[in-house]
Amino acid sequence: MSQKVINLNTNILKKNEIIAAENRSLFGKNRVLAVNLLSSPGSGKTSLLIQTCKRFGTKLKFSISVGDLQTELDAQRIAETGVPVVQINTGTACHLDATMVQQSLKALPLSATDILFIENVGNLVCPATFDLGEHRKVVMLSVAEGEEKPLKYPPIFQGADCVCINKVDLLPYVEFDMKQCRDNLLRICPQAEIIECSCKTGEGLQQWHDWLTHEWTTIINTL
Amino acid sequence: MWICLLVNNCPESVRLKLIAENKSMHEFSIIENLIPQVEDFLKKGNYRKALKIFLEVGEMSGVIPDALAFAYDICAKDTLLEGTELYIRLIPVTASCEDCFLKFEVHNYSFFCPQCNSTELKLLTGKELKVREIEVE
Repeated sequence: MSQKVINLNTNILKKNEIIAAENRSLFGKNRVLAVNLLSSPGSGKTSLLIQTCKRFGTKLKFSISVGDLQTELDAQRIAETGVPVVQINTGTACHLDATMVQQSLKALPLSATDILFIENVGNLVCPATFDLGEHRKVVMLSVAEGEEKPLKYPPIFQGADCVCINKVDLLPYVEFDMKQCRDNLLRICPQAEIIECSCKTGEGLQQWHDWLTHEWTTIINTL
Repeated sequence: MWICLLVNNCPESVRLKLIAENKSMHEFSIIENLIPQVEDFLKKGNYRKALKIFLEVGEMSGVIPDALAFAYDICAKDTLLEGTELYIRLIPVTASCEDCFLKFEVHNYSFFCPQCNSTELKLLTGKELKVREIEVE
């Protein structure tokens, strides 16, 4: 039997890339900024989205896809703000992929949306691998998680356009070195906007809104 | 296969619940993308079997080579890749500086240029998940 070596040089996640590109194209047609929100479980992704909807929902129109392994608890909380939201349950999959997001978009009013938030599954490892078609990646960590977090999970932080350091209202009660955290972020993702915030007190959320507005304007002008 | 359930009708928002029947963990879902691609290639090229498959995995791809190999051993059973030897090459993180044009390997995930300290970098390698080559008969 003759044997030969064939050079393929193909992306293993080619299928996901194709769907991600379709998502990106759909966002473009509808003039939507798509934001992939990533963090460990419990850093405050859902709280940030709820505060964003409550505080800024009259200035910008939002739609949200929420990913969790099980339950629709997060979507129910977000739905109370009146913003259109879809819950994606992944079963045991530890990340969202482009196909899951594409399915969820069918239930959202993209033509009446300025910013789509995709709240990814709480996980700082696997979601880094899967392009969802987003324009921007926002990574959250809370002050309760330690300032070394960016060093421990470099792939996800390296891809961040914005890092939100949440729960700063807890700073008097936890050992968290903010300067060291910022230095760590500067090393891993020097280009990222850094926002210190608290979804409880509202600190930093105006900066968050300003960043979102700037990014939305930037993307819309390129579409 | 996706199942969509209308959870509650709400005048303000519509919520749909999408339940994935795919229950794979991370490296398993990577391999479950790989196997149909390679099987499709073998069928289209009329190859009898794949003897060896060579993958490139970037250091920053978020994928662990050992876990990938483990998932491969399990998922390749009863497919055209059963018995195919898997080889994985780990690709380091490299970048080029947009200011002084130096190309360099990134150490310890420090994303600034070692020559001019610029942070305006373009990532060259380190995020790959590729099928580089396949040996067939």
